[in-house]
Amino acid sequence: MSSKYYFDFVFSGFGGQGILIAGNLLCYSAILENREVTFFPSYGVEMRGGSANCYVVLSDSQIGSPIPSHPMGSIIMSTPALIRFLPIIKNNGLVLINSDIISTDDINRKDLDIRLIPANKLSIDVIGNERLANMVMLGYLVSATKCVKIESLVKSIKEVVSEKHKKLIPLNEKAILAGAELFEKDKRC
Amino acid sequence: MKVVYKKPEVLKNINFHFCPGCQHGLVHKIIAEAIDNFGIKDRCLAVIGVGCGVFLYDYFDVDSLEAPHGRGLAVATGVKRARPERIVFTYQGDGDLAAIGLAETVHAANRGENVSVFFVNNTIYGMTGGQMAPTTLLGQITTTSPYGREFQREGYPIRMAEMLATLEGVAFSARVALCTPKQLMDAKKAVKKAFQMQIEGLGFSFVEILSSCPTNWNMQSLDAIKRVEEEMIPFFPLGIYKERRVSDVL
Amino acid sequence: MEKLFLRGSESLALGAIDASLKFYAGYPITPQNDIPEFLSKELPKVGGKFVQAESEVAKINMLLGASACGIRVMTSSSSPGISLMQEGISYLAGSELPAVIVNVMRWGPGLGGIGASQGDYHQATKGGGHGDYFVPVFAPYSAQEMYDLIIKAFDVADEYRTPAMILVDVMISLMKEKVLRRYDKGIKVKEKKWAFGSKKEGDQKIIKSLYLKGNDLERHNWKLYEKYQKMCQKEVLYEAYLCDDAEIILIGFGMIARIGKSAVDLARERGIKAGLFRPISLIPFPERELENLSTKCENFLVVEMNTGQMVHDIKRVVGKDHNIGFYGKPSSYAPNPEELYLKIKEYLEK
Repeated sequence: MSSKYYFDFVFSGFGGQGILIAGNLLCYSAILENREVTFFPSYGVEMRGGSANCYVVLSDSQIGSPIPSHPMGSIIMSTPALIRFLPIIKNNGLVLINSDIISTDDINRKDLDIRLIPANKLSIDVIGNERLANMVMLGYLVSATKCVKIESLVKSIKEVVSEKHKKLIPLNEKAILAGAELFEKDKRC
Repeated sequence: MKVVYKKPEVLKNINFHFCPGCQHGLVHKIIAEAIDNFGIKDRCLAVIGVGCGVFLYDYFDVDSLEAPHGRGLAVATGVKRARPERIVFTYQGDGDLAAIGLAETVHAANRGENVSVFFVNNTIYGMTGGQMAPTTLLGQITTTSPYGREFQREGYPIRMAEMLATLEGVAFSARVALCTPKQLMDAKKAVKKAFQMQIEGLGFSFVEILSSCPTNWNMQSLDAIKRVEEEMIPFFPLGIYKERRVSDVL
Repeated sequence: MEKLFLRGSESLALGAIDASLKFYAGYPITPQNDIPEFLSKELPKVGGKFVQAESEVAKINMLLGASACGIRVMTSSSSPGISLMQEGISYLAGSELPAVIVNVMRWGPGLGGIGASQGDYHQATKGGGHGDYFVPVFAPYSAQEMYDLIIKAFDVADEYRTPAMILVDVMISLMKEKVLRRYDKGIKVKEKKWAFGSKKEGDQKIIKSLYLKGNDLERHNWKLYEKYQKMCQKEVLYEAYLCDDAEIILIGFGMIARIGKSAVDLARERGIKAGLFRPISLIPFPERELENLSTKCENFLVVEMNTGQMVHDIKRVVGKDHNIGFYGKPSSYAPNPEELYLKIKEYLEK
């Protein structure tokens, strides 16, 4: 099962922030690129207290565990999520933190590649409210890891979103691109 | 020559195994006559509960399915949903229908499953040897109520026909007995009505038949009949408790 | 062939529909609720019947009635519900009626918990209900296998006229994966001549499990046994991953086997020749295959999400002269690959 193409992530935050939607979209995009995927959501007692998280694994061959011991990348959208998942991220792993919500005082690991993303602010710039912060984060992650093409992500939104919510597609696209652009900007700095 | 009596066609040429004085045979015959009357022998599917009636398929030439004890009406629900074109009836005793299978009975009735139920109430577990049933009368001695049923200890006998009549899904609910020619005529009418209801798709139909069990009552046959009249009917009054008309469901 | 992104539970339910499921009876219990929820919506669209029963006891008997009419029937539940259905499963076996029962296991005994568990291995494979019978049991470990094995379960149930079971944990039922919908045009089911048709045809049909006369019952039970023997010849399913040169073989079923695969990869990367053996059919159990492996490999480490159930079968088959280790995880969380790798290492060092 040794793979050339392999990514594993954890996305975590509160229910309502679109954590699971982000995980689903990423998987869907990878399927469009003919990858193997697993999506594993939090459940049961884990969901008490309003937390939501999911593990996403992408690979070019059959995936073993859908729950990585040490995810290589993460999207963190709440302080409890930071406390819970920061210790298990792989050495030198990528941690995207929504800095509009989370205080960064608690970050105690030096090895990690930590990116502070003002996702709420960027979402407000795009759609006038903070509801698409998840898409900003996802756009950044995809852009930073190149795990799928941004175009695949945009295409997957079109395939997943129902007719009723069609008008939200361009907004989601904008939020993703805002995240991607921020990564490009960070790279230049 | 004029035919004054004949065996119902749906019954096979086999003698009943029932004890002397038991009225199961009579109940079998009434049901058989009703099946003949509607000409539904080939459509009929019997779901048979566990109790003295369990060998019904030995006597009736109809497709038959044996249900676990008490589960007759859950099984009948599955049959009727899978084959709505069949005429499905259950044949159950008081232990089967009113004790271990009470939940299945009440919920099938409440869903208005379009099946017919023939409930033989003889106030005792016959097949297992005369234990107390949910319908056992106060004071009645059985092998598990040796001091006589007492309400503080064993609760009251349960009146199924009245209880089921309160449910919206029930199209027909009646209690009959077989002690006098008039009662027999009424019983025949009720059994026919139960099939009629199903044929017309009106919902759940239920006939409770008070029956004697001389063996487990430790009585002579005639005394047992007398007991039905003198002790059972006063507690379990005969009559039609609910009868839905086609216009009620349209 | 459609390529879909589905939860394990949806994949299983879709597989059931493609397998021509026509009757489902359900009762709410966590964590299997998304199966009845899916089927209550989708089954009526393909001419199937969905009933929410008043109890687990009622629903398994509804299956008995519907199955006797020759259509494909199924129910799903979680552990305490499966306990309640054991009476009905025994009657289905005794009456030789096909049905598929899905157990999305949770913790017991008693009310236990709702986390991922493999606590019902014994119940599923050693009978559960009263009497002398075996129920074929299949243990999927992916959304794709949820689809494939529910279809297999229906086929085996029909072929042998027996209830069949899918034994799975909540992680597999929750996890979303790519699924190939192999039978999107549906599967044609053979007509069952023994079942009740629209009306009586020819001789009266009697479907029953009561045998009081002469040695009828003995004949009946031997007949059930013969069916089981035939299953043992024809229906064994398993996966052997990197077992040929393995110095240690991990054994597990369901989700923990999948995690075990990653642990085997880790071990190989780090210089330990590990392999994985995964029974897919728990009944019939892949005994011959396991026996063959035991001639080549000394070390077996059984991993289960319980305190040790399948390990007894492994000991029975592999024998006493082998090193058989056990690592159990009777909690709501499955171990991660690293944890299993450490157990492999620890076991070899001992």
